[in-house]
Amino acid sequence: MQAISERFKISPFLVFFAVSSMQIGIGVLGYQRIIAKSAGYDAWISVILAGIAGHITLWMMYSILQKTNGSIVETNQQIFGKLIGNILNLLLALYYTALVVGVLRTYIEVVQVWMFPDLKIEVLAAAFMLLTIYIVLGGFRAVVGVCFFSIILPSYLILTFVYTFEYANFRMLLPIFDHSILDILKATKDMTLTILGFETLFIYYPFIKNAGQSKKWAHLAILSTTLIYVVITVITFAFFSEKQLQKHIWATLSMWKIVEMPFIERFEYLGIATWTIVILPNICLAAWCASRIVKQVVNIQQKYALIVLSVICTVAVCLIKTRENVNLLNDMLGYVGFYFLYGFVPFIFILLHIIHKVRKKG
Amino acid sequence: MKKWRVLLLASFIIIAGGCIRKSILDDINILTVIGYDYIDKNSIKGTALIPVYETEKILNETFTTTSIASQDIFEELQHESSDPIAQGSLEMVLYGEELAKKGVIPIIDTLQRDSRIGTRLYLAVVNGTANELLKGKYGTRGNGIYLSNLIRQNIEQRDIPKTNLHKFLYAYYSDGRDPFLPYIQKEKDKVKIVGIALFDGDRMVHYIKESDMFYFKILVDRYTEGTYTIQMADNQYAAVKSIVTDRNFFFSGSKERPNITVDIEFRGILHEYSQRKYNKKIKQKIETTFEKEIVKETSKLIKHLQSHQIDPIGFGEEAKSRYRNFSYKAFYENYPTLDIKINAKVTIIDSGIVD
Repeated sequence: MQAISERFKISPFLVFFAVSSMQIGIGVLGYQRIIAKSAGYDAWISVILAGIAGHITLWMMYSILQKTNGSIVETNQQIFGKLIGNILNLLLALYYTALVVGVLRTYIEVVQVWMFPDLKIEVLAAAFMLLTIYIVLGGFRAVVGVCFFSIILPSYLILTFVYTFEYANFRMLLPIFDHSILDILKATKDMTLTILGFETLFIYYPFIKNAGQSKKWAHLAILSTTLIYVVITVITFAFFSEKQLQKHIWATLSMWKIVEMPFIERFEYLGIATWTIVILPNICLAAWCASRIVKQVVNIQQKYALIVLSVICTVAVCLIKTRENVNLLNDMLGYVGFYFLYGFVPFIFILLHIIHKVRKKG
Repeated sequence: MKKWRVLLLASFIIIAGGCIRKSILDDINILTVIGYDYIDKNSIKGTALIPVYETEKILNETFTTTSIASQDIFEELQHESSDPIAQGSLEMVLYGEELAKKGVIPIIDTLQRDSRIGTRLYLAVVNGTANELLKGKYGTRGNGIYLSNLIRQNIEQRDIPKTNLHKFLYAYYSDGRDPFLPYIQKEKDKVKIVGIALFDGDRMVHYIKESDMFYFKILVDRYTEGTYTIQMADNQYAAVKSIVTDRNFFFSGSKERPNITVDIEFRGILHEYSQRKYNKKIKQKIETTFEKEIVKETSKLIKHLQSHQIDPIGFGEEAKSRYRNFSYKAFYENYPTLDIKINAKVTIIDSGIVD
């Protein structure tokens, strides 16, 4: 495998943006009611637990990647051999492609429900995928550039939650630990879709300059997103009563309905439009990862892999017609993501550890 | 290669830009107030108010239609209007009293489901019919602005507790709280707030009279900027302007049958005193008289709420946050006979610019 030229690499601190922008996506628009379903208003504890689990997984990922000194594609080939390793790699590519489809379709759903009911799925999907092709063709550095802006530009949105304080009743979070540990852990599992995204590191790790230094930035990224999630969770729980929250599919967006500004009547429109920038890196980075895997496995140019994948994604997005199917896809993504983060990663971690031990002895 | 990218970007802009139906402000009717009245079991009457802006003045145009469901009413109204009706800046929804007594949730459902409608929207119950109230002409800026300003300034500066669509739904869906709405009435060329309509679930069961609204507000909300006149024993009176009020709940005893104490704190300034002399002794006298009055009136009010089995103050919620494994059912079985004690503390901070 040829080494990646220095000029395609990114500075270690940019990993912060690559990780956090990938995590914040469509999940954060409506995870609150899903986690509150099992753990009630103790679910903010689950958010913290999910964050801690994320840190542990990230630590394992770094350990795996440092041992292989390459991406997960090489790790799989080293451990399982060419054939099985490549099958695994293609499954991984499928996973990242599914991520693109899930994010894009859910966002289109939001736009349809909140802004333009008569919007054609095909049009927005095609436009988005064209933009994705454009950005990904610019190379990995361009993708990370989009990640950077997707954190910086929408960061003002966090201020809008100040409007909800007027109606917040933080007492309702008490008493703490009124639910069983099992309920709280179940909510932690339900958090997966929201916390998901940092596993793209598996693919772009070789593109980081002095990769070892990026570790602290990646951890800082997970820490910050967890913190943001906890804040949003607590505000949401204080703002809605429990049964009211269960009615709101996108609780974060519903909270924007209370925002009142002299120059804009419905703030959600601004928020949802801004969210385009938030989900753009999700799509771009995932598409980049998927096409990169295909390139490495099948040995074709990334450009062609990307275009084929984009066409597949566009078609797939258009085929998902109803809310039920969107939910099903997201549930499946969360499910697969859960076993990926907390099953596959530790499994590889342990396996690689044993292999290295054995080799050292031999 | 470069050309390629420009082409991609250009096509993105073109495709994304041209595919949505536009609504131009001059070509739509902006709905500001809608009122609902009960007709019979299967139909409700909807009255929509649309301001028509002309030079110099604003005319109030009303559309009336009957239908079975509230979303249908929006559709039916379109039949009467030459321009499409936009619901995005709906400011107020009125319910006729009869309808409120039958339950408002079936009609509120469209409001919470519709993404275009904000949750800062005011709701109110009309003594009489909403249709009749909306047919009137109030103020110079159109009925919509008149009505929403009426509620807004009474929340901010007078004795209506904070209320809007969000607050109503919060209380409706909460197990430990019942909703309430302002209760208004038409009076010639004015609209008057006559009390607070109390709900059990989504049905109006009772209302609080205007004179008790002050005590109701200090129990459910923070009260600022209102003036209250105290009748003293010696035929004197004092007017006190409130700066801020606060209330704290204390619970003791079992979770099924707690003893509740409510501490009310009132801080204000003296606005008017009918006697010439004002000193520390009189200040204390005013304070204690007012304290006694608050305790007496709020206790009476709470007894009243207990006897109707409704809890707009949210004692259930407060109890839930203080006890583990709390059961609303057990709490509300005992609710009418709970012992709720009020302590009031009034502080007069200053007496204006003279002594």
